[in-house]
Amino acid sequence: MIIKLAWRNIWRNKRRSIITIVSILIAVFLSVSMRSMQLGMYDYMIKSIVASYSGYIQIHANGYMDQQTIDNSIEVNDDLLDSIANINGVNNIINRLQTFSLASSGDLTKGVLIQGVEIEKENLLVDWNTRLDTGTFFSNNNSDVILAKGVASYLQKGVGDTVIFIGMGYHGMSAAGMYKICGIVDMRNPKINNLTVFMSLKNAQEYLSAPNIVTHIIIDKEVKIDERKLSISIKKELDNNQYEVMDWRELLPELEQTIKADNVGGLIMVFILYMIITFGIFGTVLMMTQERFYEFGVMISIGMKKLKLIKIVLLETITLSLIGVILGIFAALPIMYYFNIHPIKLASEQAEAMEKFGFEPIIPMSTNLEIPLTHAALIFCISLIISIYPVITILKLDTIKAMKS
Amino acid sequence: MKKIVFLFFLLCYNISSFSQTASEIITKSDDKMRGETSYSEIIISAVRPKWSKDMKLINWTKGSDYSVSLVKSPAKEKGTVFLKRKAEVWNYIPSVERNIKLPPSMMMQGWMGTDLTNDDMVKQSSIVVDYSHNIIGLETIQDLDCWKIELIPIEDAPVVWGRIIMWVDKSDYIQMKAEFYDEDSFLINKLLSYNIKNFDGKKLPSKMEFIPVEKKGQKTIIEYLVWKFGVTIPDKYFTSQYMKRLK
Repeated sequence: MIIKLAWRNIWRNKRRSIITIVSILIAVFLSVSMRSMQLGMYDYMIKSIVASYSGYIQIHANGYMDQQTIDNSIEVNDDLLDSIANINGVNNIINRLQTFSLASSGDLTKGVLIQGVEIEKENLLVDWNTRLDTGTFFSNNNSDVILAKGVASYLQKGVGDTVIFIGMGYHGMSAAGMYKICGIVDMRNPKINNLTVFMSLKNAQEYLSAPNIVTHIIIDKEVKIDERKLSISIKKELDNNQYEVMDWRELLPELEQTIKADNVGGLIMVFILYMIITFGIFGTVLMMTQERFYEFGVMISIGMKKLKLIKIVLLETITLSLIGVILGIFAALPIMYYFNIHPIKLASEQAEAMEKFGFEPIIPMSTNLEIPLTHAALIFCISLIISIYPVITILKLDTIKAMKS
Repeated sequence: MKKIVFLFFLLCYNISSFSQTASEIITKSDDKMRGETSYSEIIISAVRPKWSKDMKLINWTKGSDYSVSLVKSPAKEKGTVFLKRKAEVWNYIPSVERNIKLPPSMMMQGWMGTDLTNDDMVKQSSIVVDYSHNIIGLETIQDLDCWKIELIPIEDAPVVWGRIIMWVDKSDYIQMKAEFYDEDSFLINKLLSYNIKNFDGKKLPSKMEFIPVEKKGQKTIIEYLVWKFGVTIPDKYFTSQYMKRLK
């Protein structure tokens, strides 16, 4: 009965109801789309660097982060690796040996970052076949190298050509070697593309005269584990004078701070949108209450219990907001899914700005259902709060005064 | 009265005619180490808190403008050649068959992992030309009487030091000790000489320690095993083309 009355009341004044629904719809649509874009962006930034390249947690020799030289490195043995592997939450351990050297080919030289990697282990982080542009991978035992495509194009070399690396090795030994290029990769990240070359870990250790030495131990965590908790467990297990354990927030503080700063900006925008919605709904409810003052007076005087009237009015407001919210979400969802699969590509100047930070200039939208649900719930609560006004009005209603208005 | 004044002036004149200028001392000391040509075999050790590395080198020098060094050990670096021609430094790396001319940007980097920079290797004789010299005292270092000489760079001289103090032995003109200060007068490097021996008729230190003062536990030690002077060295040894054939 209450439901029927409420529904009829809504559609008695079509224009007002539709205006209210549309304003809620637009607000929900905008805030959900905006947050989906922002949160999608952050997820993408984190995934692109953390999950596929730097890893969620890294272990180095103590002091390596401040002074990244080959002499600040870890000598690995089975005991060390086993003790780390046994920690709850560690999925895989990936070793890398990283150093800076001069790459030279013909008359061209370039400073490069040499990454000595174990290719099967790296494939656990990300499928390298998606990165390979031309050529093949090296195996653990051969001494061929892979160049990132920016380096290859600068040195004007391709698969089958020779490249020379010269640098400083371990404990003062000179490092120099001539290698055949077996493949070219596209790391998707322009900074990494212009700087990195890859070779097998064994080959890098031989080049640097650094047997059993690695500079990075990357921890691939199990999916549901919080990396901050895992980082603390690892720190407990290892000697903190010898090793430093860092999660991606410590490794890439600029990334974390960029995300935090941008997030705050987004939340402010959402807050403003919500203010607008609130006043929109409040405006409607205010008008409705005032308009129906006489009607309320009549209803109460002929015997309707005030409580019943309150329930009807509440239901009207709730129904209006629900319709607006659900429609808003349904309008936003297809956009979210579409741009998740085909991310927005940025135009030239913004693209350059992103590439400077080392990201591919795309904005994928997040399809995390928490976003629309959170906003729906929030707007729903706002409508409930606003309904307090008509409720109080009804409670305070003096029938005679009402019928005289 | 007149006699006393006359004798006094005679004494002063005699004293000044017997003393040498600081510049003459430095020049003599530098010439002694270089000579016309020289051949030497040395062991140069880079000592660090956690490790040390020894290298065996053969050096040929001609005057102060030309010098070439060949690395004999360790095995991985054997055959590496360093050539200095006037102000150019060349480096030949046998494992990649590459000859590199060191750019000015690399001159301040350590030479082969030691505490000596490429610039130090090149600028050894500039102490004569690029600095003004002053005797500021007399001290005894390792039982030898030495002049204490202060070297200040001449205006516009292309040098990295703000001041050098050198202790040169009076009887054999050996550089017993040297202290290198930067432009802000901080002591950066110390050079100490030990074990004076007779090399081919000249008295020279057989062991030199080069200590970067601000880096704890680090030093570079140079030991001379063989040092000959006046040897005949073919000119081609000092060309960049010959580097890959140097034995």
